Amino acid sequence: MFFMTIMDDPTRNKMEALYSLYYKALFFTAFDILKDYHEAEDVLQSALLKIFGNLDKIDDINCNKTKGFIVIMVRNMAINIYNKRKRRAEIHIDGLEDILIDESGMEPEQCILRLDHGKWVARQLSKLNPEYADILALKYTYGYSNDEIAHLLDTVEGNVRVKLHRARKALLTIMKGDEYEKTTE
Amino acid sequence: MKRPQSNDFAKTEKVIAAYCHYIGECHLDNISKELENKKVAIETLPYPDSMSQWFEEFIQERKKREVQARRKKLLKRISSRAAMFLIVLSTAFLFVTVSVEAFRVRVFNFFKEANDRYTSVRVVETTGVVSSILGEDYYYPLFLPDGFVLRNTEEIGQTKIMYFENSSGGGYIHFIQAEIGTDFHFDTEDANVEEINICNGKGMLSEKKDRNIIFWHNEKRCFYIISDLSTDTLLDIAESIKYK
Repeated sequence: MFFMTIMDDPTRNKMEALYSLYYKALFFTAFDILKDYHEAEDVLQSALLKIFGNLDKIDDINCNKTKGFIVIMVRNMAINIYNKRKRRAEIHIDGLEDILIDESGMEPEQCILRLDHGKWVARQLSKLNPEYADILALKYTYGYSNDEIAHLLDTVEGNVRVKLHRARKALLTIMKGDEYEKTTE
Repeated sequence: MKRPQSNDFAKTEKVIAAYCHYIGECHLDNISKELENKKVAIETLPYPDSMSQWFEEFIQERKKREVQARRKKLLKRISSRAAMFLIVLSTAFLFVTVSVEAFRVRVFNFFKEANDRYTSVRVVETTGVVSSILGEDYYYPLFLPDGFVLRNTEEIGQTKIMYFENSSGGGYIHFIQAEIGTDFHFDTEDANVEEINICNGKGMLSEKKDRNIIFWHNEKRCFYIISDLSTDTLLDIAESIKYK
């Protein structure tokens, strides 16, 4: 009883606050992909456990950065389950090593000139494959290493590397596209 | 030295990383906006009760673990302090016990039980070690009043009794020496009994009309003189005893 009285638990309070704020959105995100209540539940439970392990990296609960981070985790875990269910084979790393070459395909000028179209580019990238946009955010916005991303998304480091490469290539393709030239946002 | 081409590559990479960082932030804004747009669908999707229950249990479990962890931490902190305290205490005791001075000082408790007709006296060594009278060793008074000679001795166990008598007239002295811990019963009926200091230790004096008794002890033995002489003479005899 004495120990209960003196217990100060900011970690648990943070977790409870996160849950009460986002539980519906997270469940919806998982259900939207899987269309199955039980599988969505499993994904949400796993994601919450992972979030609990990374609470120290979350400063402000009620902000786009936090919301995006947990949605990205749930979405990618749900996609993993979906892929397994559909018996989609994981990307075989050995077969893709040969495509990991054109790292500098994007020109800096292209990036600087089109800063004002960031949201449109991000949306196009997400439309192409939401995992690409997610992995770019985790890598460059949150600053996670490939290993950390692999741990967060329940995958292997090789897959993260391949997806990052593809995401950057996809970004380049979007920026070189004709639609981009016409877009004003 | 790095090649200019590699240097350019690193610079380009920095710019691309910065742009990707920006795209990532835009992506997060888009996620937030999408969730806002789907707010109705999110709110209307039935949320399973089992999920809420699971979370509640999860939080309770974390609470328990947290309490256990804190308890362990607290116990560890307390036990280390207690251990330190015990070490200091033990060291202090050890120091006191083995120091030379501590060995030299031997404390005796002087137990006295007064009854109507007699007084029981016993000397107990508080260290628990009772020294024994070995062989033929004994104490003998160097001072005796004129005319007094040793008439008889007696040995009962570890108790030695010397009987002195005045050869030229009346008077007697009974000098008894015994092990520490021996019980003595004095006839103190109608006697004046008082505690005295004798031979650097505690003693007892009983004055009666026709019989005076003096009792004391040193580190090895306790002594008992009974005589019809004055108490001053008995004290002189007591102060003069020497080990033979």
